[in-house]
Amino acid sequence: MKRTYRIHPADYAIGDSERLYERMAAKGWVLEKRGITLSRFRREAPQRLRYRIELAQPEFLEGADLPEEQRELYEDCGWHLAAHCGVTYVFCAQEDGDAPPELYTDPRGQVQMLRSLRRTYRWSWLWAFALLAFLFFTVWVTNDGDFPRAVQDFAAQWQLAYVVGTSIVLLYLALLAEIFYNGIYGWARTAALTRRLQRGLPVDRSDHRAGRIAHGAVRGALGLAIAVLAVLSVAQYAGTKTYEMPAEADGPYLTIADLGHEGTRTEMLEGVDPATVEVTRSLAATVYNTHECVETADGDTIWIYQDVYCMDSPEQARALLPALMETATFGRPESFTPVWVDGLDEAYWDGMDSVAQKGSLAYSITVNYYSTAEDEAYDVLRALGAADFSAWQ
Amino acid sequence: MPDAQPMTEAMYYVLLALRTPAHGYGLLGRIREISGGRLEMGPGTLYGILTRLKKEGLIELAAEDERRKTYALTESGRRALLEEYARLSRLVRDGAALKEEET
Repeated sequence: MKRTYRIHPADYAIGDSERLYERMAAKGWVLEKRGITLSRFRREAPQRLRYRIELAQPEFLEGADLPEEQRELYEDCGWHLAAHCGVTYVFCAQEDGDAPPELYTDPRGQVQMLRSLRRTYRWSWLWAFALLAFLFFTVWVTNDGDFPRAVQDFAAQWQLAYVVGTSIVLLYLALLAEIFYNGIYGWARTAALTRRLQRGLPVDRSDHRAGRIAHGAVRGALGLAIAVLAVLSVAQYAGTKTYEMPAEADGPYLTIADLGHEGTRTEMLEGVDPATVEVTRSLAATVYNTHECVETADGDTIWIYQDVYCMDSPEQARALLPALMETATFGRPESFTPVWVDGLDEAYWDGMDSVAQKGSLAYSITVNYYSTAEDEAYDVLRALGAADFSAWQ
Repeated sequence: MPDAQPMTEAMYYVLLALRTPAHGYGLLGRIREISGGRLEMGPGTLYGILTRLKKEGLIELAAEDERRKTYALTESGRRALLEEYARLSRLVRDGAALKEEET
């Protein structure tokens, strides 16, 4: 048996759905099943059918079934249940001959049917922000409940997340926008339908082509953006390379040898490689994350962690510095001291943490030692200033 | 009726039809008959009214088999129906002068 599928309108577009099913039946496609997004039709002779949608009222912990008594009453009157999905029940009757009465002869009686739908759309957009709220809550807790500090920290993390995973952040924002738009639009349409029914006017089954096209265009644009960003996110994830750090740096990062310490690479923690480089290419930057651990001849263990952001311009690199200080391993923005170092455009030092800008490169570096002696302080920043990374700018 | 709110026409005819216990589908035919064919009620409208009348205590389940539930008026429902009839009668009496003016 031949079958075909169509994307049906959303739950609130009752008139549009009814008109779709009637139009399809007239062309010889009878509704067989309604899913969340798609409706399935089977091939039959063209016929004039009337479709009407009834929405069940979900009860807490009891699901969303239409009462059996209501269904049987409809069937006794000549309406049979064609399909249902979730709260949406689609009833069908012959249009000609002994056509049964409309399900609702008083449109005001249908207002109650929309109650749960109104509630759903009124609050649906809140879920879009639930994850954001949870993430902020975790940041707030790690900042000892200091709200202004948590806001700064949260903003800094998002700024860096955008640089490292541009497409992923944009994908999340696009999903947020889609959920928010659908929630607000659904709420507005349901409210408008409720007002219409309260005035005693029946469900509008006319074709509002211009409105449909505009709404479709917005949803299409959001859908396309989400699809493209999802592909880019997968591509970025697949393109991320992690490899053992060579003896001489193959990127714009420092090795422990560059800091003047000689030794043998060793595991900092059991099972963790002694020295690795991870390279990520996002839409906004190429990012190097490195770590290296060395045991010197004296038996000391020295380790270094680096985040290097290769931006498109010096201005963009400079703009990252506050966020890098905000998210530093040990330091706080207020504890960093600006220092002047040859070869660096800007540099900030806080003992084991260093943050710097060198042309279009931005750095956040953490080592497990520091000295305040004049000839040894800022040795990380001095090594960075002396390094030639022009090939990566 | 709580707070003596005027009854809708549809509710009035449902209560009127339930002077003799009946099930949902049977009520539709009886309402059509009582109203002389003027009132054709949809099953969705009827179901909504039955739900509301049950909630307000004006009707109750009189019998139930596998498929159908039969409803009947409660004492409150009978009183509410008589009060509404009296109210409607007053309205017609008060407007009697209109008929004289017409003739």
